Amino acid sequence: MDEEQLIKQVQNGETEEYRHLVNLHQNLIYRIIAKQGLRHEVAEDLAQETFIKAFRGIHSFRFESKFSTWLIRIALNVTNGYFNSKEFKNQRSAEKGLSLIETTQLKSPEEQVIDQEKFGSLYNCLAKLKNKFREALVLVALDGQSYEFVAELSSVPIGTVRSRINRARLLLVECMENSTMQGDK
Amino acid sequence: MNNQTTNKFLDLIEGRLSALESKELLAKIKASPELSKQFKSYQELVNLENKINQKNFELNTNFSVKVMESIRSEYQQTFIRRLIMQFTKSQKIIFSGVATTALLLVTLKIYQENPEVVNKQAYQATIGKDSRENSDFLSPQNESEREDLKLKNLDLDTPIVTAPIASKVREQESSLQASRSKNENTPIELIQKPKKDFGQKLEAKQLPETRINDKDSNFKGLEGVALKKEVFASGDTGVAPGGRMPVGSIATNGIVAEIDQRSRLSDLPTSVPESNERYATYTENPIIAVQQEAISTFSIDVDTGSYTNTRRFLRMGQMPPTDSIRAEEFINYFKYNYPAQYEKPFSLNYEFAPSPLEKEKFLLKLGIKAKDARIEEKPWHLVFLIDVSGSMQADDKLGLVKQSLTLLTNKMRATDKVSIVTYAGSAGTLLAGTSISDKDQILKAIEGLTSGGSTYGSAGIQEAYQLASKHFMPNGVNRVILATDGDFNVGTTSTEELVNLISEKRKSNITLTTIGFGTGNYNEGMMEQLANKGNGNYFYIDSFGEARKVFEQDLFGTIEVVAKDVKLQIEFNPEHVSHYRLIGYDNRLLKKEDFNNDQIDAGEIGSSHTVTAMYEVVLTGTALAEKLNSEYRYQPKSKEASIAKKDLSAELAFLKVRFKAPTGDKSELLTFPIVKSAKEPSTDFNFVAATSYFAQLLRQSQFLGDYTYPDVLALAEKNLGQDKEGYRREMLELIKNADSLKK
Repeated sequence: MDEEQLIKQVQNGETEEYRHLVNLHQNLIYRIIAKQGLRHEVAEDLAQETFIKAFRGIHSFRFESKFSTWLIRIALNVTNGYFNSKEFKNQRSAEKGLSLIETTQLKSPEEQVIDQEKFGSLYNCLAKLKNKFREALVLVALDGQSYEFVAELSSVPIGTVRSRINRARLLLVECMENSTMQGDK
Repeated sequence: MNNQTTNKFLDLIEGRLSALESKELLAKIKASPELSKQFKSYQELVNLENKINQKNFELNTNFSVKVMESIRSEYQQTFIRRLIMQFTKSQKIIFSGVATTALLLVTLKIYQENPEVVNKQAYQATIGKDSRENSDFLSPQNESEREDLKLKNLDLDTPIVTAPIASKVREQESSLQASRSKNENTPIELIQKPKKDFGQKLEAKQLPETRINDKDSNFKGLEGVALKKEVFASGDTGVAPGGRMPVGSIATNGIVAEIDQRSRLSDLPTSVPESNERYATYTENPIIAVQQEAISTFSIDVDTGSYTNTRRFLRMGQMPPTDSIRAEEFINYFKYNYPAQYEKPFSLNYEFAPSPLEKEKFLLKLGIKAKDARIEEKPWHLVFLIDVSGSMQADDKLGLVKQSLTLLTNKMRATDKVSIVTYAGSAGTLLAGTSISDKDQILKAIEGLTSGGSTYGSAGIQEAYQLASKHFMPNGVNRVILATDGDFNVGTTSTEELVNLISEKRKSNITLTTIGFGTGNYNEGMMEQLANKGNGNYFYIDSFGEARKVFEQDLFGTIEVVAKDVKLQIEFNPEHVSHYRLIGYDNRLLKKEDFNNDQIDAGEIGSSHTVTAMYEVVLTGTALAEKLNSEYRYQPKSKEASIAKKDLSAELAFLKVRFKAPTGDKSELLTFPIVKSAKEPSTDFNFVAATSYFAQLLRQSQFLGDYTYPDVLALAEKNLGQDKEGYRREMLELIKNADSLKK
């Protein structure tokens, strides 16, 4: 069914139709949340929260952007909120996120362990980034979205997105080097 | 590492450089050991990123089922609350702090005894038109519910009449109004003091446990059922689920109270936790034929929050929700020149001229300017009540609060005092009646504010008022300044009780200003309502610039109230005026008889403040008047139109203003004839017109004329006047934004 049609139906009170919208976008939203390095359970919870928030606010969706863009904006806000939450800061559970990445089987066990460590420290550092940097990096580098898309989503010029990604990488490199150094000691 | 070099790394890796440039950069990297190390790390990171990028993350298939279930359970929870409220309202019982279980049982019992309260429309809205299509997890249940309802002889097929709802609302409201003074002291049949333990918010997950007997109670289907009365309460047809929960819901902890009869039902904000931004819906003032009602009465309003909130939306590249637009707050955002002549606390001014954009209509601008009372040097005691809950943790919230309060503190004088109360999980006093001579201590306290925890707003307000009473300055200004994002999600008190507390304290001359910060959970209805009850004002602050405007200019006007309960009544002369419409002030209308009733609360005007209102007027004898009258069979056709046109000194209308002294109980009356004049409209007049057109365009007003954003832009641009601070110029940008968003 036509997405616009569906949204209008939900806005008009046919709330059960919302399920189809969830079906259409659930993988996209989950992927963007999970790629920030969150455990499956957490990512799923946040995705759920995103859809509930979107449902509550669906009357304010005015077809001025794509529905998926709107959802992604909400998902990012929800995830940013989680990263800033006490719950997250207490757990600092980002390293568990590495279970998401299966290392390829061609590699030796040693190499796999090294890879896992790298991912772990990448995710740990990612969680420490400021929201705007993390958002840009996750969307472009980890999820292959275009610069234009991220620029639209964050209402900033493309150049800013580019410099955010670059800045994010620099901070990540710095942070990862520090963390491996600490690990060596 | 320098940004420029690494920006080049990015270009290199993403293949944006020409072959020559790449070669040069690579050579440069190779030459410097430091650069090559950096480049290696950078590249490694990009490799890692690519690996993640290629991995697909997918959810299991029953995710949407989970989402829908949690939406349903939340919906159900809210519905139950409203159901309880409905019953208690009709029985004039106040429950508070009683365990949710007990409330549910009472409600269920009443519900089961009164099954006729089923609203078919709401029922269908929840279940969906074709329940078979959703059969996989919802329908069996719903089908059986449907059967159940049928067994109970419920008439599911009689459509609920929706058209007379508006009139019903009015009817109900006026009866409430009529009964309210009588009811204020109605003995309460059952009161239990709220206990903190029940201040927890009702989690959706708790519901199944509190529903004592699921099968027997027939409770599962309840979310699809709404009371007919509820339709009126919401001002909405049927039950809109989720974020648009009808206004007037009860406080989040399941405590129930009668709706505040003082307030219009539609003014009450919803208390659904964690919702998106909320705006009370309203209907616009209609065009009124003078033959039918020559008298128009309203309360002044000096709030400006709607304009700043709109500015935030437009700057983010979004159109603001239509219900968030209040034309009077647009108009009053700007300062206008009114001649200062103060025998009374304020001067009255008016201007009458043809509408610059709608040829057949005229506009009547009324202006009030209060005298500058700051000269009188009354001492102040300000209690800063600051929300430091987790939701305030953002630079545009707590950060701005700190900056704003620092500005304000620096503006105060040695005789003034400051108290600071913060609230989050619990309320706490940081400063109690500290004199401005200890400015450093105050500034330090402000600087040290940090956020965390949930929002236990009511306790904060109580504590703030206690402090205000304790350090009361008998000859001074005593005011609580509440800085929050309005997200009162935990508290032992309902909105009703808060409002009562604030109204009560107003009588002992402690007033309240609410200042909204930030975006996200912003609950505007609540903010405005609280301020109105506390004889105060409401501002919305979205930037440091706005903080400067409010704290360095506007707030000073509103802290020192020059006159309170200011009501305007204008009687149009049917000889000359055929129709009129008040632009904005949609929720500020008063009844004719309220004008002379000193018990009726109205707006305040602060030191050197201006309040402006605009009427749209149709003169008798014009083609438009004929057209508007054509629906009346017996309407007298206009008399000699030429008389009205020639007689420029004719009295168009008669303006009456009532107000009370800041601490007085009895009102004074000012009267003022309004005559036509041949004067050219001033730039202020035209700018007010532009502002009101802009607001109406954004509102998508049903009375929109034949003008567009570019027309309004041109009009505003020509009438910027002096505009020293650039506020008017700023509106030009907003009009452009709105215009391009429309396309």
